[in-house]
Parts: sequence; C-alpha cells; structure tokens
Amino acid sequence: MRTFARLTVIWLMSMVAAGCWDNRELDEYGFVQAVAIDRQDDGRIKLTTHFYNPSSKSEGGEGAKSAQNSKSAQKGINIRTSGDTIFEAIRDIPMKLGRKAKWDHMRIILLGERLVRTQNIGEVLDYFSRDHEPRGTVLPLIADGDAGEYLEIKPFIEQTIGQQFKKMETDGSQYSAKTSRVPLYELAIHLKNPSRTAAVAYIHRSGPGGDVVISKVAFFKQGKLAHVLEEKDAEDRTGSRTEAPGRDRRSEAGEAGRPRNRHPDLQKESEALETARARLGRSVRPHPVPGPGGGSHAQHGVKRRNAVRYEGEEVAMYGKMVCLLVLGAAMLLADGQALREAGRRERIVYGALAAPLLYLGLLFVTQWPWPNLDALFDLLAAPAKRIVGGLNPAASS
Amino acid sequence: MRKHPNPNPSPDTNPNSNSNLNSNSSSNTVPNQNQSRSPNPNDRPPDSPSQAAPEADPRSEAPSSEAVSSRLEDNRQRMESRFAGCGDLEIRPWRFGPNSELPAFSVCFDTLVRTNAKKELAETLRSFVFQDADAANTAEEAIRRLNDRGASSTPAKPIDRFDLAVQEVLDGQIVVFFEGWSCALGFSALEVEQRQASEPITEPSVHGPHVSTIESIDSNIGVIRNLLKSSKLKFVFRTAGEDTRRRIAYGYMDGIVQPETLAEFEKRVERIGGEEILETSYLEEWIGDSLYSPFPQVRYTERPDTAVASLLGGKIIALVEGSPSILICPGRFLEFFMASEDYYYRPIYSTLIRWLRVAAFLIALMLPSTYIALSTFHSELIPTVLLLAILNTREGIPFPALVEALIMEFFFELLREAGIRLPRPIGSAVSIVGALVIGQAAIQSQIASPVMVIVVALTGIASFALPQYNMAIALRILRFPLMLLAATFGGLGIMAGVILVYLHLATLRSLGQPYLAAPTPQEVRRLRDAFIVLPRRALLRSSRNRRPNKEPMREKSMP
Amino acid sequence: MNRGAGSAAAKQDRIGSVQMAVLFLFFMTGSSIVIIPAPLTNVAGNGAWLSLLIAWAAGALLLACVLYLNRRYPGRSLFEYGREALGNAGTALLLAPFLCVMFWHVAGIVIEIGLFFKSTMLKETPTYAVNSVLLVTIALTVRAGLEVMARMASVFLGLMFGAIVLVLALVGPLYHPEYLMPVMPDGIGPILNAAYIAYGFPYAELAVFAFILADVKERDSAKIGKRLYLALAVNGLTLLVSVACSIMVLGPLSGDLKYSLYQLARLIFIREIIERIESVIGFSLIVGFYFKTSILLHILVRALGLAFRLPNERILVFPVALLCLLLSLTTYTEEAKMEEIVSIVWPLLDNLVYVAPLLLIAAVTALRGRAGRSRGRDV
Repeated sequence: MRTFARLTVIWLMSMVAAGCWDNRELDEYGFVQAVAIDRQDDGRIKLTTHFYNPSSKSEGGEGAKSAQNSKSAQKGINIRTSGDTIFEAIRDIPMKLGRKAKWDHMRIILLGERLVRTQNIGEVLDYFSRDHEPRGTVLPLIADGDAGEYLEIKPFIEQTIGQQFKKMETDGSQYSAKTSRVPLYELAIHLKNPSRTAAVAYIHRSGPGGDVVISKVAFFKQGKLAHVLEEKDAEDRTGSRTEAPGRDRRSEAGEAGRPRNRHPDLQKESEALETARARLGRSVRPHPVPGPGGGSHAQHGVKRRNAVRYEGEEVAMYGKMVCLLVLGAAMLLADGQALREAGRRERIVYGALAAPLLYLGLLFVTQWPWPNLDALFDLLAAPAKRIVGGLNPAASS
Repeated sequence: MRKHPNPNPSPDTNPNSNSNLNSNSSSNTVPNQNQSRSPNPNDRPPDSPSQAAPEADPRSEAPSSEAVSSRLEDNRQRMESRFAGCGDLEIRPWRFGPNSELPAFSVCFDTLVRTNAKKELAETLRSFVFQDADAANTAEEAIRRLNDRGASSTPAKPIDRFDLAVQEVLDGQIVVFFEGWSCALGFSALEVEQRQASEPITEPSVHGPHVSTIESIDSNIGVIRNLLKSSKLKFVFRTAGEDTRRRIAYGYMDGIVQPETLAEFEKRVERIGGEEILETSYLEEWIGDSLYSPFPQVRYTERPDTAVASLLGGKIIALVEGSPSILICPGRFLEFFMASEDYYYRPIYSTLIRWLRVAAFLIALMLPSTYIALSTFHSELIPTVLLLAILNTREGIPFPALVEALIMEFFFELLREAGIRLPRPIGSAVSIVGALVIGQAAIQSQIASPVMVIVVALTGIASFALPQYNMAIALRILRFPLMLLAATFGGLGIMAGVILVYLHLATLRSLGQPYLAAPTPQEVRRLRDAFIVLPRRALLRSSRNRRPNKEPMREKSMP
Repeated sequence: MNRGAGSAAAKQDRIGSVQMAVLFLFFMTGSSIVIIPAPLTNVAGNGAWLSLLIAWAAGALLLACVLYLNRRYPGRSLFEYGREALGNAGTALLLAPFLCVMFWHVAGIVIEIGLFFKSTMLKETPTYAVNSVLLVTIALTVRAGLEVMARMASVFLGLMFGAIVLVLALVGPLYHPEYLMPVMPDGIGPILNAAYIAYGFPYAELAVFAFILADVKERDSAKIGKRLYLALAVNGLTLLVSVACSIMVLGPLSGDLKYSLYQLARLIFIREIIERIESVIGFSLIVGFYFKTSILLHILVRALGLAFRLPNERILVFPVALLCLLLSLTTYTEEAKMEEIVSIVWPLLDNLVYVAPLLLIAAVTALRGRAGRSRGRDV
C-alpha cells in the first residue's frame, strides 16, 4: 500500500512536470487565415501573411455602428516578410508579429503569377505540403499581379478575407462553373501524374479598380504556369468533365462538344472523352487531368468499368441502399413476433409479397430499366389518347 | 405529536375472534427473570436502526403457524430469537396474579409506540396485579378487567397465533404474554411522527382550500370522507408486499363509477400480490395500460378537493400508506389540462386559461422544432422583417441550428434537474446564475443566438403551465425526436412527427378506455367541456359529471 | 406501444356509419382538393366547374351502384359477393387486376405528395427520403386499425376543411367574378375532356369502398346510404367552390400553375402579418393526402385479406406498404410522365379495372334477382 501511494505521488509530480512543452494558451498564437506568396524584383520571395485579430466582443458589440469599417479592417493583420526561401520568410514572422504563426486554420494560399511562371509550383508549395500544420484542404489560388494586394481587401460578407475567398472559389465553381475548386492535396496529386499538368483556380480583378472575382482556370505544365483559360472555355471544360450537382451536364457538354476556339490540350481531352463515352454508353469522369496524355487515361478508364461512375451517383446509391436496408430491417423486426404467432395462410401471403419486394428493391437501387408496372400502363396509353381525342377534338395535349 | 387514529383492522390480518384458548393452568412456576437478556428501555444500543429484524430464523415455520405457547419462557425465547438484532425492541417483565407471582412480559417496539400508552399499560398492569385477589385466570376475564381499568383506549385483542403476535408487534402494538395462557393480548399504541398538513407543495392555488394530504392513509381518507359525506363513497383496503406490508386503499362512488371500469381496476389490483409497493406511483405499473408510452395514463394529486371532484366524476382513486399522492384513474388526455381551480373562477376566465394551457402544450412540444425547420429549411416562410432580425443575431454562431438547440435544451434540462434537488438557499442562486449570467454570457460570446435562448426559455416556461407534471414530462421527452425530425426533413418531419404522436395518443388506452375522446355525442360534450368551462348549473344538466344512471339535480332547497 | 394486438383483431374493427361517411369524405376530398383544379382548368378553362358537375353526377351513379350491392349482400364485401355472383374463378380473374392496380394507386398518391414537396418546399431532399417518411407514417396509421383511424379522422377533417375555408376566405379581396365568363368558348369538347379527367380521379375511385362498407356496425348499416350521399354532396360542393374560386382569382393562369389551392394561399397578403401562411395551409392539405392514402392502404390490405381468406390481415400492412414505396420510387419518376398518366391513362385504367368489375357484378346480381323474383318468391 505504501509503495502504491509513493508511486502515485511520483506519477502525479511527473504529470505536473510533463506537458509543459506543448502547452500554450490560445493567445500565444497568431492564427493564419490566408497567405500570399510573391516574387519581388530582387528575386527574393515576399510573404504576406494574414492573421486573424480577435477583438473583444463587448467593445465590438456596443460601439459596432461607429467602428464598423475600422472593425473589419482590424479583424485581419497583414504581416509582410521576405526571404530567399519560403521557410526563411516564415521564420521571420514572429519578429514582426510577436506571436508564433499557426497554420492549421489557413483557408487559402495566393500565389503571384510572376512567381509561378518562373518557379515550379510544387517547390513553392513544398513547405505547405510537408509541414504538419497546414491541411490538405487549403485552396491554392493563382493571383493576377501581386498576390499580397488581394489580402488588403476587406471581406464583404464573411468574417475574414481568407474565408471570403474560399467561399468564392467553392460556391463559384459549384454554381457558375467558370472556375474549378482544387484543394492542395488534389493539386499535389495532379502534379505527380505522368503528364505533369495541373489546373488551379484564378483570381483577378474584373477591370482596373474593379471587383475581385475568382474565375478562369490557370494551367500548369511541368509545374510552371502555362496558360490561363478564359471563362467561357472554363465553363465548357467543367461541362465535359464532371456531372456537377444542380446542372444537367450532359446537354451542356453536348452543345459544347463543338466549341469555337479552344485550347488544343482541351480539345484533345474532349475528343478522348467522347470516344470513351461512345464506348461505354455513358459519360466518363476521367481521373487524370487534360493534357496530351489525357486520351490514354480516358481509355484506361474504359477498362476499369466499375470505377467509372459519378461521384454523386455513388453517394445516392449508397443512400438508397441504406434506406432500403433500414426499412426492411425495421419491418422484419416489427413483424417478427406477429409472424411467429400467425397462421399458415398469413405466412404464405407474407412470403409471396417478398418476391416482388426484392425485385423492386433491386430496380430501385440499381435503376436498371427492367419491366415494371408502368410498362403495363403504357399499353393503355394509346386507346386512352384516342378516347381523349374523341371527346375533345381540340385537345392540345 | 399528533395522535394517530387507530387503523382499521385489515381483512386478512384479522385474527379469528374465536380464539382457541386453553384452559389456564396454574401449574407453572415462576420462571426466572433474565433481566440481562431483555434490553432495558433506557439502555438501548445507540446505533440500532428501527427496522424490521433480519430474520434470525427464516420463515421456515409451517404456514399454519404455531400457537402461542402457554409457557412464558417459550414465548419469550421465540420472541427474542425472532427479533434478534432489533435493538429497539423492548421486552419488559411484569407480574400478575394474587401474589404477583405469575410472570408476564410485554413486547413492543420502542420506536413505534407512544410513551403514554406504555405508561398507561404499566399503571393498569400494576393495578391489575395488585387488585385482583382471585386472579382472573382466563383470557376473557383478563381482558374484561383490563378494559375496565382502561388499559388503553381501544379494547385489547386476543392473539393466539405466534406469527400474528409478531405482526402485531411490527404494527406498533404492545403484546403482552401471560404465563399459563396460550393467548396473548395486544393493545394498539402506534404513534409515529407525522407531518402537518400544509399547502400542497406541487399544486398550490390562489383560490380554494390550501390543505394537502399527508403520509398517513387514514388521515387522508378521513379528510376525503369529511368532504364527501355519502354512504356511497366506498373504500376497499388491501395489504401488499411481503416485507413492507403496505396498506393500499382504493375508493369510488357507488352508482357513479362505471361498473366495467371498476371491474377492470380490481382485476389489475389483484395481480399485485406480494410485490412491494413503496409509493402510489408503483401502483401505476399494475394499473396503467402502456408502460412504455411517455404519456401518463393516470393523474396524481395532493389536494383533497381534486380527489373529491374526480370521485364525483366517476373516477377511482387509490392511496398508499406512506405517500401523500392520490392516484386518479382512468385518466383521459383532456383531463390533464383541467385543474380543480378552474371551477372556482368565473367561466370566461377559466375557458381562456384552458385555451392557454392547450397553447402551452403545443408550444412546449413544437416550438424548438418549428424554429429549426423554419430557419434551416423554409426560410421563405418567415416574414421578411423578422427574418432580417434573426439574421443579424445568427451571424457568427458556430453551430448549426440543430446543434445549438440541442445544447441549449440540454443545458436547460440540466438546470431543471439541478434545481429540483438543491436546498432552498442555494436554489435561488442557481436560477439567477443559470438564467441570467450563463444565458447572457452565451449570447455575448456568440455560442448561442438570442432567438434560440428565447425559444428554449419559452418552451421551458410553457411546459410548467400544464397543471399535471407528468404530462409535462412527456413533452420534454417528445421534444427531442421532433427536433431531430425537423432537422432532417424540415416541415415534413414535424408533420410526420406530430401525426405519429397523435396516432400514438389515439391508440392509447387508460384502464381499457380510449385515451382520446371518440366522436360520439357523449364524448363531444366531454370535448366541449375540455375547452370551454361552463357554469356549474349548465354542466350538471349535461352528462359529463353524472353517469347515465343518475338524474340531473332538481332545484332543492337547503336544509 | 399499445397497438391493436394481432390476436385481438381476429374480428374486424367495426365503426359507426357517421365515421364511415367521414372516411369517405376524406377519401374523396383528400388529394383531389390539392390537385384537381389545375388539370381541369388547364383543359377546360372557365368551364371546369361544369365538368366537375358532370363527373360528380357520374360518381353519384357509381355510389348508387355500390350501395345497391351493399344492400343486396348485407354484411359482405366485394370479394364475397363477387364469389357469389360469378364464382371463384370469375372473381379471381376480374379482381386480380383490381388488386394490382390498387398497389400502384397507393404508390401513385405517394408520388404525387412527393412531387408536391419537391416542387414547393423540400427541393433538395431525395425522393426516397420523402416517400419513406410518408409511407412509414401511413403504414403505422393503418397498422393501428380502422377504429383508431376513425377516431383520428374527426380532428384531421376539421383541420383540412378549416384550412380550405380559411384560404378561400382570406383570398377574398382578390376575387374577380368576371373571370368565370365566358364559360364554353371552345364548345363542349374541352368540358367533356375535363369531365373525363375528373371522373377518373377522384370519382371512379370510390369503387374501392365496396370492400369496407361491410365493416359498419350492424345497427348503423341502414343509415349508411344517406350519410354517404351527404358526404359525396359535401365533397362535390367543396371541389366546385375551390375550382370556381381558383378561376376567379387566377383567371387564365389557373391552368398553368399546379396545386391551385396552394398557389392561392401564396397570394394571401393582409397587412404584413398574415402573409406566407401557405406552409400552414400546405400541411393541412398534406394531412388530407396522408389520410386518404391511409384509408386506401387499409382497403388494400383488407382486400388482400378477403381475397386469400385470411383471418387476420393486419400483419400484411408493412410489406404491402414497402411494396408501394418501392413502386412509387421506380415507376413514373419523371413529373411529365406522371402528369400524362393522371390526365390521360388513369381514367381509362381505373374504369376498366375498378368500375367495370363492379358493374358486372351488379348486373349479374340484378339479373339473378329478377330471375329469382320471376320464379316466384321463395325465401
């Protein structure tokens, strides 16, 4: 007993001593919301880091109206550092801010166009890929001109500019399809593909002094910026690539099958897609990205038939199966007791109902066009139409 | 201390009045008085709780119990072994007979018996001993003499079975064993501390009597009988439980109650048998139809006037010794919205208050889910100005509406549970801390939006507006599945949820009768009464209060 | 939960004639009040109310036929008197399609509700989720028994009719009686076409009531006829009024917008406070749909029980409901096809499958009766 007591005391004391290394209060960190990387004239890397500035709520709540503008400007602090490498620039941040930077909650990475035209984007983003703090879901953006300037903009509806840009890219790509949403990990995967091509969303101003807009797509070849796709072409590209929710892609892609002046790479991609589509009888979402090697990959996709499905469709099928299983299980549970007590006739009829149940369940989940009751009813369509015609010669339907 | 009225003899513990008494034998010698073995009244082990003795010898005696032996020593030994370990048992020796040579001893639980009774008994036995020269040698003679002397306020009871004697001691009687008689005498002397009848804690009222029932079944029945002086008010007594041997009583008005309901009730009560009944709500398990439904099927009250009103309405009430709650069954859904107070006020006011209660029911059930559905699914249905106001408050809240609602509701339930058990001085502090400080702080720190706090607070208050607490419990339970349904399917979820709740209510039965009113003409009048309170005269002519076999009152003059 | 235990329901639930009439009224009005004005006005324009009258008259005749059969075979239901009139084989042949189409009928109503929700309130929720929720509720209701359903019916009826009256009253300021004229600009053809549609849905469907009319308590069964006619009259009046009102408010637009009553509710605007109440109205109307489907499912299960002579068919409720759910999710998933079937194919289908067997059995019964009478009054 005494040894136990002693061990406990020693353990407790060591608990107190341990854990002091990583223990940090929240206000010892600065939380990065966005970062912009540029190349300066002298060849060094310029880093603009946007930190969240937490204002205390009480003064914010009462003096809100008067301090509205200054409040939102105060919400974010930009720290500019420079260095020969990104790592050096990052290390200089506490020098200027006074707090260590925490990269977990970063939303976007803005990369200046000049930087990525001259340097491999993979090298630039290397730090962010390897470090444990930044997450793979952060969104990189290619900025027209100087990336750091974009962080000076006040967010209009979100809380911080980082969040603002992220929502713009996400919802913009979903609803208007004039850009793409490419998180960091996807970009990294694309950069590793055999053709070494990648696509990233593009941010620019709609005119000198105009609104900031995230549209167009920037294409990279061998890791360096090669071409920025205009909005119309970006739309077509999205149409031929994916089945985005909320729009009927097939019809759009069909129209876009013969575009006006498209980028040669994109043209090759869409031709490969059409071939694949024709072979399969349904649209394809190729895993790799456009490029000269795109066609072979699409063919590759033909062979792997199972993998070629729409993402949305997979989820829906899963949902349907879950729904069906839950309902079936509930039904059996509820009826189990009663079935045991029921007579033979009832059990026979119950079982007889199971056969059409299974058949229809299969049809429901897989959506195969097998015969169903509506086929029977359609037989009556013709005589019914004749009756209607007889009754009402002026029938419009 | 109040005097405890004497309990009526329970039917199945009635001793046979014809006792097989052996003829007395005077051949006994005086046994030794083992003073050391029997504990003195003044000398009790300090930590002996007054509880039933752990059976030293288990009840392996023959069910046909042994008779009281005529040898005093036998009796004493059996008593001592039976109650071994009961530190509050008192065995006192006496002597009787012409020369005080015949011993006797009295057994009682010191904690159950009032000291006056012991004193009286002591006096009488002493005088009895001294004054009767030709000692009364038969039990009847002894009884007569003891009664003449006024040994106790009720006549003594002869006991000739040993286990009966044990039971009588446990019931708080003083049992006296005499040498040479195979019969003992029991004098009732039970007195245990009782609470004063005061304002009903859970059902206070502004107007009307402020008397509540207490834990003694006899005084409760007494109060009710005092308010309902009719020979048609019947009470039936039962004893339930092997170890607790709790007295249960149920009462009804003969001629008003429906015979099939009464028959069903009695059938269910018979099933209780040897189960321990600790409180009136234990009865609900046997009487209620559906155990797993959140909705209560019986009502409870602590007010005698409510009990009387329900008796006059053809209900059956049940009481249990040791609990002030009166159970009223069968309970119908609409009755949970009625309080006896409604009839003490003017009809218009009572009608409006009834409607308020119905609205409270709906709010308590559906307000959080409606808010969730409206704000997350159907924002087009909120009036524009209100929507903008809500938007301002919701900006910056990290949680989705459902999570926020669940957190706030959970917090409110915690507060409620904590508030019940806190002693009064701390209780008010908790309410201030909880409601004002934490709620306000939650809003300031933008964890919860003000609208949600309002919703949760309104819901909580609405559930308190219902007169019956167990109905409010049902709402607290049902609120959460409705919130989940609303968060998944929006308005459709609420609709499906409400329909399912209604469906459940429609299938529920209370004592065999449907829980909801059926659309037959009688029931329509009942329905109408649920929502509109009419003056008494109009009511009395309706068939609500009186069963078909009773005519409406004619104008009678008061005597 | 205290559901009617399987063993206790070996005897059928019996309800009073008033309750049966209430169920009938629900059945006729429940879904038609939401759907009906639109297709009729689409085809017949201002004369839609005339076509409704025609269809209603046809429905009254059909009701007469059903009641006649009920009188001739007291206490028995369609299968049983079919067997008497036509023998086992004939009945099986005639009524098997009846049953199959009834399965789809339930599914069809559920599809309609699903479409209503998807187009108005729950646009993103997948169809299977909405339909599952509805059918689970419906199945649980039917499982509880006819008596419970009759008990619930009164409240729902009040709710539904209250909502209808409320909408039609609150829309008052927007009425333009002149929209009702001219009545027949294109001649009788469109009126007949619309009458064909209205007769198919809902009036021909009342044939299914032949299965459960026998479940009325015996002492009440004499009055059932009067009460059912009354219910039909109320139904006709309600539909007529709602068609007329929707024409008066929406004029030529009433054919283009689906769910006329809901659209009317959307237009209500009284002083900023009473606006956007279409949700409340919508739910009350959906309650009508839900209850009609419950009644229909109950009739279907009862019919199955009668067909296979099962002593206790309540156990079949869940599998039948699941089957109807799957039917609703695999057939006619596109709205356009659904509209087509409702307006064009369905009247023919249900007349063929519901009404024709009924008429046949009635005719056979009448002939036999006459033959029996002419042979002299035996028993």
